[in-house]
Amino acid sequence: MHILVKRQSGFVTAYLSGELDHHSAGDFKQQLDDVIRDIGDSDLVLDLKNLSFMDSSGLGVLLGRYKKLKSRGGSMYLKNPNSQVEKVFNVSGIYNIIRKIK
Amino acid sequence: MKIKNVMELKVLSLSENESFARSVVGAFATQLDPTLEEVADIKTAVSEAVTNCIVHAYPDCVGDIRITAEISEGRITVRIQDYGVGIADVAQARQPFYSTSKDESRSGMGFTVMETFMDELNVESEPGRGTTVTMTKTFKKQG
Repeated sequence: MHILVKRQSGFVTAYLSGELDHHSAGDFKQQLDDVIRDIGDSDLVLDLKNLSFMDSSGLGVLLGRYKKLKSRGGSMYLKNPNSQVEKVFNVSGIYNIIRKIK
Repeated sequence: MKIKNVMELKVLSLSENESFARSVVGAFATQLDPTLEEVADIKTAVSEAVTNCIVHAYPDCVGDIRITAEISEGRITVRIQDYGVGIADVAQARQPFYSTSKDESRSGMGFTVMETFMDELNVESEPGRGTTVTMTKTFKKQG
């Protein structure tokens, strides 16, 4: 599990790579919380292109970070999920809460 | 249906084994010449079932998780068994977003994901004795 952060004009992109399951969830949560703490109220785009696997453990982590960011005035977006991750997102209905962008 | 091959794996309920268990079952399933999506479906469902054992079956201790898989003509059956606390109300546990966990990261979507990613899901549980999850998937292309 690895997160690379790039600041662009008006928003921040976090590139996630590796596998997000219950085992890696704690580390992932910690790293994302650090990102959120550092970006203030900027919007955060999670680029999932290199996230090779995610199960439902990832949903809770993402929703928790979304709420945290929202309470600070920022927004979170999801981008480039692979087909396996997309299927987990679709089952959960997470796109009703966190928007997917191209 | 004639059984072609069988595997059995016993691991401790350590989170390190989530990735190991789903990879083993996914690799075993490739004998049926499945699509990449079908392998990903099986890996996801196994990951959910094994995570349930670690989080719920053995909340305060480390116990055994037994994983068996059987392949027959174009079909895989995966059984994931623990000897932990068991589930008092299986129907309730299978409801989407239902979770007994106090951890905000637990989404309560484990059984829903297993149901969606596999064709059949059966959950047998006895409080104090453990839980057995049996999942079946039929492959579209007969390998």
